[in-house]
Amino acid sequence: MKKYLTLFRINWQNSLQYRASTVIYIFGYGLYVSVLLYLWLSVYHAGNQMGDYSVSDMITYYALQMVMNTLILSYISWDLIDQIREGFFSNFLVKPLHSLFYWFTINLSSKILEAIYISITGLVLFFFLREYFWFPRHLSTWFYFILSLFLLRGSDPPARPFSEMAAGDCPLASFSIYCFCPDRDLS
Amino acid sequence: MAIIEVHKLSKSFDYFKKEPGLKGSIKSLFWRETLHKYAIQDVSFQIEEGELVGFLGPNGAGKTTTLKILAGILLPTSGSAKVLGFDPWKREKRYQKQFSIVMGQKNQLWWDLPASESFALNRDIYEIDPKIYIKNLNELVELMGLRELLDIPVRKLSLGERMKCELVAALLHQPGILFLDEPTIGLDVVSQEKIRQFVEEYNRFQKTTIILTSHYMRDIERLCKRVLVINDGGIIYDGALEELMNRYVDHKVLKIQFHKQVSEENLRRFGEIVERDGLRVVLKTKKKEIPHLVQRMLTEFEVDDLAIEEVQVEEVIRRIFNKT
Amino acid sequence: MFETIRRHLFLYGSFLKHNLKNEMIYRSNFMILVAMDIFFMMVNVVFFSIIFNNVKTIGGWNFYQLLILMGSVGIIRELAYLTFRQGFINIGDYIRTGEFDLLLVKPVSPKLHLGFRHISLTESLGEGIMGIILVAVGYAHLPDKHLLDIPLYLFFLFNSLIIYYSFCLMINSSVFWIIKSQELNTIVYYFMETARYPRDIYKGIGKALFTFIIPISLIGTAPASVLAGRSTGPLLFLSVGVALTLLVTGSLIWRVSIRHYSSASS
Repeated sequence: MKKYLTLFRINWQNSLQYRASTVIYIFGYGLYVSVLLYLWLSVYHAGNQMGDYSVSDMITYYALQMVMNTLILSYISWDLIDQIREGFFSNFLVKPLHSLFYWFTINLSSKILEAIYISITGLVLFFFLREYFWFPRHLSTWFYFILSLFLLRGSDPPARPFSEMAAGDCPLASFSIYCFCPDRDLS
Repeated sequence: MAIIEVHKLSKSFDYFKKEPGLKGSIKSLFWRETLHKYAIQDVSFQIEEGELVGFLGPNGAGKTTTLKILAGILLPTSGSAKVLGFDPWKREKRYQKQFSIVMGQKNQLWWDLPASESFALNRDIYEIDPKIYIKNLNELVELMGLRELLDIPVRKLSLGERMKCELVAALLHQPGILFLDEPTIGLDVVSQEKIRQFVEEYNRFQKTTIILTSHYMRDIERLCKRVLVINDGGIIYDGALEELMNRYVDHKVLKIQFHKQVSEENLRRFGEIVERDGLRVVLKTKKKEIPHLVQRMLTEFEVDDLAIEEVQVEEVIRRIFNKT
Repeated sequence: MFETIRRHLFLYGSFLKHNLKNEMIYRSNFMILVAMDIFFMMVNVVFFSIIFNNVKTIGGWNFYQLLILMGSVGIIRELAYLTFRQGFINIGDYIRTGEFDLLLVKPVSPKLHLGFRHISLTESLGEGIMGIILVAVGYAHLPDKHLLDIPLYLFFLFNSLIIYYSFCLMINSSVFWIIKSQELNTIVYYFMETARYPRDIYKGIGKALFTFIIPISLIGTAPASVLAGRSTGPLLFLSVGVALTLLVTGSLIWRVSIRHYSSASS
């Protein structure tokens, strides 16, 4: 157990070394989401409506998707590819670490760090768009939302080594967001 | 006229001090102590056209930094360096076409294509006249003996074969100056020898000025009449290799095979005992005293075999660096 | 001037030839990449047709006009891969391994060399092909066409390529400090995804931000508006102006960054 705690700590330390690129990434991703919000605001302000989603529904949907994409998508298969290519993987096979736990620890520690970053971006977005955001009033909605979160599996974006990765959305995330969003449907 | 003139050249860089551990990492998010370190300091030397000079020194002494400044990769902090009359860091095309740098572990060949493709690309990059290109290529390939390797993808070549190709690629435009940074690193003994031979011959025929850094003393010993010894960012010796040996070595090695046992006490009279294995003895003896000591030994004891050898250059260098 | 252009075209040809040979080795990947690109482009077409089931226009653009916009972004992306894009994606590796040093000693400008070294025809070919098809379909469905449309369109495609290049140059200059380039280029990728939304959706501060700092509101919209019959003088002048300004700023930032690289490393 202790060795995994150490691993957890070392991965944090390592990530902090490259903090600038992570911060730029999270900040840029926030801007990307804001473009999508512009798109929807423009559609709705022209007096249109998408299905029975109100403009608040839509915006909450995207904001939630941003948070969940960051937290659920896992990029460790990229690290794995790098390690295999650079020959570090065999180095790791001879050590007394279980590969599953190893990657779980690495992933967990990265995700917690990212959660901190993303909540900062989230707060900024929330400040600008506070009139559009809303939260479910019913406790049961929160329950279903959290339950649905556990059904999610972190799916990797399609592996395209040497290229920029395709932004693969996790299809199940939409389901989860659906549970969160239309309060009226579930209660 | 000197082709390379370096005067009081210094290069320092900043680095950050980080306390160990996670706490240190978090702390360094907000505040880091900046420290300066001199990679080289007040280095001066001149190199004449056609010379083959070796840079000697331990890791981190500043050999590579000096080469990189001369190649225009790094900007010096102070001092001046003129190569062929150019300031290297201005990276003028006219200068860049007149030198080449080969770094032992950096690869400039296209990994998946045969080396001949990379050569052809260099022809276009350096704007080499096609006729001259073919002539140079043939000469170099002949000299290296790698005709049959030309059509094999680089990734399938051995490390030694790849280094040979790297050298050819670097020389196609007939540079007047060649910087070689650890060209034999990681190679097997046969490939090392081949590279040495090539560098030696190329320098002799083309009169190319060559600066070589290497970990392997044999490279320097074999190729360079003149060495610059660099330690801690400064030049501590500039001159002929033999002179260096004379200055730091005042003794030779005597290897003796006695016919009968000789007591330790007796042996000490002839020099410092380095090794003693039954009748075989290795002694370190002051150069000046060798003639009469040997004479005395031969009259006092029965000797089966006797050899007088120079101290290995490697050992000398080790001693220089341990002293400073 | 003329001589410099001639020399760079010649070098480009030489690098292109080498890169094509290199890509031929991995032919099996090629079909998968093209198929994936076409699939993702289709997903986007479906996305917009779903929206257009509920609305008549987005920011004043109808469905066929948006096809032109979407297609144009695909074409620009392929053109970028044929010139500079892949090099920037790899720049982090160059700096980490020190191979960037080898670019600095060659008698070719490092920023061009980096791009030329990694020219890729196939990386985004599917998007390029789909792009041309979408533009053709969209254009065919529009009522007014002019003789000058196509040359003007080509000019503004090129102009957008310069904007895209300058943006990459600015963003990737930071790699000399932060060493890793993957995250940066993922962000550039996301931004290019949004270039297929018309410029008209932006308001206020966002409009300025996505014009001058992150110029994605111009990259797709400017050329597409020419074919879509929505171009206005101010928009076209603005996009030429932004291209020139960003090219100059980008090159300056890049130069400062290289200076930093060669004074800070050892």
